[in-house]
Amino acid sequence: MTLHDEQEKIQKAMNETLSGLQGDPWLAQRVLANVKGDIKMKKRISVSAAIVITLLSVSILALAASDWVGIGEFLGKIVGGWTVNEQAIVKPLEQKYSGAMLDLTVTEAYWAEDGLSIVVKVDAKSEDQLPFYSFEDGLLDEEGNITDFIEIDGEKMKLDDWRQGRDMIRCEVRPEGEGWSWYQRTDEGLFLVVTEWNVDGDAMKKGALLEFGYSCENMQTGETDYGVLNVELPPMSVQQGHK
Amino acid sequence: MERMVSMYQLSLLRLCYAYLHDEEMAKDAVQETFIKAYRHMDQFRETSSEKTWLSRIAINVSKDMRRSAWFKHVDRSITLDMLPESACPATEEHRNLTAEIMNLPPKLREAALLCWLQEMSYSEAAEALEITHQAVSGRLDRARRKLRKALERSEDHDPA
Repeated sequence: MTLHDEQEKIQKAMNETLSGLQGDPWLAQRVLANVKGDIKMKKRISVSAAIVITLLSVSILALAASDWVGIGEFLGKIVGGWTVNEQAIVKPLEQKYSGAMLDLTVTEAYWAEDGLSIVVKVDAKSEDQLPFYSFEDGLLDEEGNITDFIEIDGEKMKLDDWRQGRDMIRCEVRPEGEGWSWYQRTDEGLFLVVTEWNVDGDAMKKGALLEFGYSCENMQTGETDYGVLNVELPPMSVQQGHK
Repeated sequence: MERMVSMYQLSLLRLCYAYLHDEEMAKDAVQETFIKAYRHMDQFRETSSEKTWLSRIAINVSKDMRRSAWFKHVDRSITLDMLPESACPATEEHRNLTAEIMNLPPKLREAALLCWLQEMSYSEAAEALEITHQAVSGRLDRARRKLRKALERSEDHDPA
């Protein structure tokens, strides 16, 4: 298949598949009315997103009340103080990945009913670089622009004092399937907690190889890097309820 | 404005939906795109086409939406049952291929949607994404490799 054939095939596939999307016959009028200030644009939000926001808010409030003691205990506190099943957690994993700008170390994994979570320690390869997670408290404003402050352990610090001239490396790790991510910054550094929902239970019990995508961007130079973390897990059992 | 909306609304809706995976958000993104286009009409340079210019705005609007706090923490992967019902018959292989393109990592997805769906040249896509021509080429190459199996399955089932 030539590149041209590939492109034609992709166009045909996408145009057919998305042919059900319907345009809005009144869009032009709404745009003009909005520009003239007559109508505020509604930010629509899907029902599923609203549910997720509610669940995340509850989870984050629980996290705020706890100290970081490791992912098993962290998740145990969120789900109401369950004792962690030893076979539901693997630590230390110490699986290391070396990117162009960052070293990523998967330190532990935990399988609970909401999915498989990994903890990734993020270290910059250079002392002149400072990794950060996109949604660290206070760091980004609503439009995604870096502000002048960052919150660490609840304390606001001027960004320049924290940066000390280093390049800021925005980083994220995400599951290949559906899931979510969060972060924790401790004296030991930056940790990302990444959860993949709906893992294959049978595969997990035999030992699984899961893929997580990572990407990072140097905010000062624009350099980017991305790739895949292949996380090898031994046979695990899922954490279910109280032990 | 009516002419622009009439000509480009559907194309931009498909682009935004393929990027955001949510029909309601895609409609908001399209509306915001045309609002921004109207407000910045004086900045439109005749050196690029209207479609390129609007696609660039649409991608940036979609990226801003994707960065918003709630959206960021939900990885909205697409499965076949989440795709909208097609107005014309779409084979399962085509739906699979579409879903796989929509599930590409964001930076590969951007390049793929602009070049393959919006039929932009590498130069136009590079301008829209504010990256180099080589970066566009590299991202498309990676996207093709990720889509290899889906493309082969689609080829097997497509009539000549």
